[in-house]
Amino acid sequence: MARPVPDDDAALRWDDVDDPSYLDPGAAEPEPETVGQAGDADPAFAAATTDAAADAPAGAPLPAPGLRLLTALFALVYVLWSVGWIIGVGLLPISGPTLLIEVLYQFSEFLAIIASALWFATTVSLTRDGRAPHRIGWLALGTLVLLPWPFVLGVVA
Amino acid sequence: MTRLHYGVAALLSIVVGWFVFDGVSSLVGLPAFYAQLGVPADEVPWVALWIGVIQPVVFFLAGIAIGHRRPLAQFTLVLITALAVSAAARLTIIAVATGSITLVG
Repeated sequence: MARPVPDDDAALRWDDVDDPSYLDPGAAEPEPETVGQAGDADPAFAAATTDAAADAPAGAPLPAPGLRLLTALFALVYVLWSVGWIIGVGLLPISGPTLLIEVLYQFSEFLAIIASALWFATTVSLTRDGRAPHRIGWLALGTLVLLPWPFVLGVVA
Repeated sequence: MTRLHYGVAALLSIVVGWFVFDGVSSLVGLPAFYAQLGVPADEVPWVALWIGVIQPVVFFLAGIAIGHRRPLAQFTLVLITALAVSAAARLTIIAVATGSITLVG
């Protein structure tokens, strides 16, 4: 160990730089990564680290394959809904009497077109912690709420 | 909710205000338009018109209720989604009302 600069008062203190437990008060704190790398050489520590890594997914579980498949199916439905809204908005005879209201109408139509994508993204974002029933429930509710009625009514008519 | 949450909600409530204003305009203007066409008052789609006034507020409040404990980004996403759903509902109401006009005409 590198010895600190000798001083005349060293004999008056209890610390000893040759003691393995000595901590140099002038040295910086060891980095956590350094501690981990040093501990990797210890088999017991490595085993404990492996166990901790194996336990990590339990705290933040990855989506199950079934949930991922259902989410993908809902994504397909939401894409279809978006296409339905794009066509449906074109079927609506809406025009504003003034330029300002026309711009606001166009903005409203844009919001309606992206509503399905927003609902899907919001649901996935808020249920990222793996609550499958919540995600499926909200995605199913969205398919009902955001059914592109202008398109459906246009087709029926 | 932090001050930023309140700020985002206040900013986006401007859009809600416009949706409500548009709904009120239809609530006032459509019956007058029907009257000019000689359509009886009981043919006016009052339910659709009132839903058009109320639904933007309902969706926005639902968004606040769902997202108020979330981080700011998710809170904003929920509110924008609520606005988009409100816009979609508004177009649905217009589609239904347009259908009723076609049927009457």
